[in-house]
Formats: sequence, C-alpha cells, structure tokens
Amino acid sequence: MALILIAEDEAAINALIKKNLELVGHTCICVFDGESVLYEIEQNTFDLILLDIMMPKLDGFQVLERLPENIPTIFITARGAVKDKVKGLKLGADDYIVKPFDMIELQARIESVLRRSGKSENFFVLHDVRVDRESRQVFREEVLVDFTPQEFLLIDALIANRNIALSRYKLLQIAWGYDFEGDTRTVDVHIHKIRKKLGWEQVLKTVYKLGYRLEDRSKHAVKSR
Amino acid sequence: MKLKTFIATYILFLCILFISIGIVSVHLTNNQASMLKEQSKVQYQNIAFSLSRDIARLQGRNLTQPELSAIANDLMNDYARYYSDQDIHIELINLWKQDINLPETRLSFTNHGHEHFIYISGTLPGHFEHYYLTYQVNVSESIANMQAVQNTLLISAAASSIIAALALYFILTTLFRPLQNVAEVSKKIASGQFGERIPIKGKGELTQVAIDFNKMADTVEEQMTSLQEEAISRQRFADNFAHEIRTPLTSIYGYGQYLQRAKLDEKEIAEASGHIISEAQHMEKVSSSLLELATLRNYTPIKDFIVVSDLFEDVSQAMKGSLDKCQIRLICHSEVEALEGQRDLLKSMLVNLCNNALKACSPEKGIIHLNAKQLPKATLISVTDNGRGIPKSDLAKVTEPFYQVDGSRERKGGNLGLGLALCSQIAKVHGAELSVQSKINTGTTIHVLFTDS
Repeated sequence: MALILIAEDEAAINALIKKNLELVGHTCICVFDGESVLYEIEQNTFDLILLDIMMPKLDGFQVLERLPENIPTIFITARGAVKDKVKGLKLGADDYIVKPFDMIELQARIESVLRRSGKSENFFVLHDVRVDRESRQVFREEVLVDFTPQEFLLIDALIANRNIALSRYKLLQIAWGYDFEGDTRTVDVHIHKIRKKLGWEQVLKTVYKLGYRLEDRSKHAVKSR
Repeated sequence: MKLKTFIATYILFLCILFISIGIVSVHLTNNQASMLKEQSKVQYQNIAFSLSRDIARLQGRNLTQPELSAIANDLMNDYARYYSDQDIHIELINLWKQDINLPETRLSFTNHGHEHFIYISGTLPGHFEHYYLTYQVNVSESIANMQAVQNTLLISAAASSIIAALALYFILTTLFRPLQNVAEVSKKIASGQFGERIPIKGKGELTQVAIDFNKMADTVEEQMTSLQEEAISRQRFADNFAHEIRTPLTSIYGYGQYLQRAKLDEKEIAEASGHIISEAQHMEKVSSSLLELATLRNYTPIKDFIVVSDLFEDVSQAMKGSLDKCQIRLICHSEVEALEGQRDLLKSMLVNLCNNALKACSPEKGIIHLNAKQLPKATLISVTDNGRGIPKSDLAKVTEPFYQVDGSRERKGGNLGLGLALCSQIAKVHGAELSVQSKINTGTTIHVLFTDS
C-alpha cells in the first residue's frame, strides 16, 4: 500500500486522517508545518502528500512550489474560494479538497490519484481469497470464482474502503453509479451472493442501521506491485 | 485640437504671406512700368529736341522744301542707325502740306509675341509740327527681369511657408506637450495605473492644470488604496473565519464518521469522542467571542469612576495563576487616581493585554509592566513586555479578528486571535485609542490613550 505524508497543523485532523488511511492499509507519516514536509521528503519516498494550505513556517502553496514534480499532491484546506482552488491546481496539485470533507470522499480521491500515478494496489489478499483488481478476477484457494461484473464492482468498492462501514446507499453510488435508480435491497442480494461464494460470513459484516463493512485487521494482507 | 490649431494657424499665415507678396509685386510692377515710361519719354524728348535743332539749322541754309526733306531723311537715317544699337527704332514722317490733324504726343505699351515694346509718337517741338516722330523701344529685358524678381519672390514665399509649417508644428508640439501629458496620464489612470503622475515643469495655466490633475490623482489613488486594503482585510477576515469554523467542523464530522463506521476498541472510542467534545467547545468559544465583538460594536459603556489602583489589583489577581506558572513578574504602577469607564470591560481588556504579553515572554525572564500615566487632557494606560515582539509588517493587522503572529491559525493554548480585536473594540467604545509599538526580540508596548471628554 501507499506511503502517504500528511501535512496538517491541526493535530486532531492530522490524527483523524491518519487513522482513516491506516484503516484501508496505507502507511502514514504526520507533520505539522511546511518546513517538515521538505525535511520528510528527503528521508522517504512518498506515494502521495496531503497538504494543508494554512500552516506555520511555510504555507502549502510555498511548499508545493518547492516539491519535486513527481510526488502526487492533494490540497486539504479550509480555503474554499475558487481562486485558491485554481491557484492550487495551477501549481500542479492533483486534487483540492475543502474542509469539512467526507472521509469516504477523501479515500476515493486518494485512490484515484494513486491509480493515475500507478501506485494503487493491484491485489487484495485475505485468508484464502485473492482479488486481482486489474484483471477483475477473484480466486478462492487459487481457484477462479465466477463473479458477475456487478458483483466485482461491489467487492472492489468494499476493498477500497475496507474497515469502514459503507451505507447501502453509498455502495449503490459507488458500485452501480449515481444514476442507478434501483432499490437498496439490490445491495443486500449481491452482498449475500458474495458472502456465499467466498465464505465471507465473518468478514463482510452487517453494521447495524448503517450498511456493510469489510473487516481486515491484518496489516500485511496487501501486496502492491 | 493640435491638428486644428495647426491647420487654422497655417492657413492664416499662408493668406497673409501671399496677399502681401501680391501687393508687393503689383506695386513693383507698377513702379517698374512707370520708370520705364519715364525713361523712354526722356529719351524721346532728347531725340525730338536734337532732331528739331538739326532741322532748324538746315532751314537756315535756304533749301527748297524737297531738298530739305531729303536731307532730313538722311539725317533721320543716321539717327535711326545710331539708336538701333540700343534696340530703339525711330521713324520721322514729314507731313508737309498734308492736312492731317495730328494728335499730341502719346505713349503706349505694345507686345508682339514675347517681345514687349514702348511706343511713343508725337510732333517735333519748335515750328516743325509737320514732322511726326515715332519711337519704339524694346523693353522685353526689363520686363523679363521684373518677372524674374516676381518668381524669386514666389519661390522664397513657398520655401518660407514650408519652413513656417515645420516651425509651427514644432512650436505647437512644445506648447501642447503638457496637454498631451494630461491625456496620456489620464488614459493610464483610467486603465487602472493609479500611481501615474504628470511631470510638473515651469509655470502658467497648463502647469496649474497639471498640478490640480495630480492632486486629483492623489486623492483617487488614496481612496482606491484604502478601498483595496479594506477589501483585503475583509477577505482576510472571511478566510480566517472560514478556517476557524471549518477546522473544528472537519474534526467533529470526521471523528463522528470514524466512530460510526470503523470498528473501534474502547480507547479509540474515548479518543475520538474526546476530540469531538473539545472541538465543539472551541467552536462555542469562537462564536461567543465573535458575538461579544459584534455586540461591542454598537455598545455604549455604563461609565463609573474607577480607582485605577483597584483596577490594577483586580487584574493582577486574575493573572496570578498563569503568572506564577510561567514565573513571570507583573509590575503595576499608577500615577492616576481615577478613570471613567465600565469596570468589567476595562478589566477584561487589561487581562487580555496582560495575557498576550505573557504569551510573548519567555518563562522566568519575562517582566510585564502595567502603567497608568496622567498626560495633559488625557490618561495613558500601557502594558509593556520584554517578549519576542511583533514583526513590523504585521503591526497594522494585529487588531484584526483572528490575527496571530506566526501566520498559521494554530490554536495552541486556546488562542483564538480575537483578544486584541476585542481590546481594541473596548477601547473604541470608551473613546480611547489603542496603539501598538513593538520591536522584534525586545518587546511590545500596547498604549491605550483615554482622552478626557
């Protein structure tokens, strides 16, 4: 999984982002001011930097100007003005997220930036199940399991947001698309099928009054290319 | 404008030039003509006179009329030959016994082709009225000379009109330069370059116009600058406010979602909910401070006489805890007996100022002075520290809401960045003025000047 640098001077938010990203398997290093970003990128090769704009010592814009171009960067900021967004994106940021933001949205944006830079995970392994996200194939005990495209989209959404409960509605949005007008019970039916095919009754948990969560507490379950 | 002036002046100049040349050349021609006439007349009279004298002598020899005529003819031929060298043609006609009424002497100009002649005819003087003398002189050369003079005049007039045109253009350009400057500068100002000014040179109406124009530009620039500053400060407030609200909201929302969606153990739950509660408390603080600030804006304090030493005692009591913690000393000194104002507001202002001073000082070394001084017609209260100071570029902004010296919106120790804004507002409603003096690494002094009403 990806190594992500979180630069955010607000300790609570910094910790929050870290916790959320660790849930889906990323590794995070936290810094609280602009200068430390420049120090940290000398020490490690990061797959992504999340950058706040209003930070002590150097602000996010100044930091971005000094960053090498090959590190994907996402701005996370309270400054929602269009001109700030334009400025950030013009400076070469890959995305711009305004506070307060939805954690699932942040995950999705991170995932899409990582995929663009070719640093997203390609395989997901949990116990006897292996999911090849590139060729869209699912194996159980190294035997190919028959998955419909829709079932695959659903399991892919759950893997991308593992350890985070997703509502049925959210799953519909991600796996079926925003314009799908079906019932949320469609989700239940598909979840049931996936559980049965993979023996995931204890892994794909129902969260009371909310939806479903793919639980994977092992940190090393993921191999990246 | 310049072109119009140029054309009008130039046409006027050309009219005057050519009319005067016309008058001069007409005058010259007339003069020349009458001179030529006069000359010819004199010559004619000389010839006539000598002829008649010669003929009179011949008559004395008692010759017959035909003999006389022949001799006169010979004589005449001699004369004609002599004068033909001078381009003069003369002829004598004997009209003896021919009863013709001869006209008196007359003079005329004639021309054949390009040749010009003066023609004079008349009878000889004395008793020789029957001899008629015609005289014709070629004056082509004189006329040609005259025309050459006229041509020279015309050519020099044309040359001088070209020179005059150039000179006029140059003079007009020089004269119109101030106006041109005004035009150029106003165009630049209109396009938003408010710093442009007209260079001031010399004296006169146009210079006065330029000076007035510059004054106008100064005023416009000043107002634009103050409007821009106002806009920037508003934008800053909006940015800061957004940050101050969005940052805790992000935490609350994020931790809420985290609690709801992730599988957590008890410690994690306690941490997450702790964040939510403290962020909510912070938002509460910000909103009540902002509310206080907004209320103060239209507030009239309920004024009382306050004994200043009592007020200072209150302040040092309130500060005691945090002063002891950082081992910083607060020294109060008052030369003023009493002050008019609302006690709780003034106390809150001074506590706030002392708190700021405390944060600027390094522990153990810090000393804060709280002074009250009587000035003529005013009372000055000052809070001085020996802390890290405020950068010069930031001095004007320190009383703005949410301003914090280190640029970030860090909220260490519950700083909101609203304290000095509140103090400034409290001073304002008391009719006092709050000003800041500071030097990096030396310290900061806040003056609050109460003018006696």
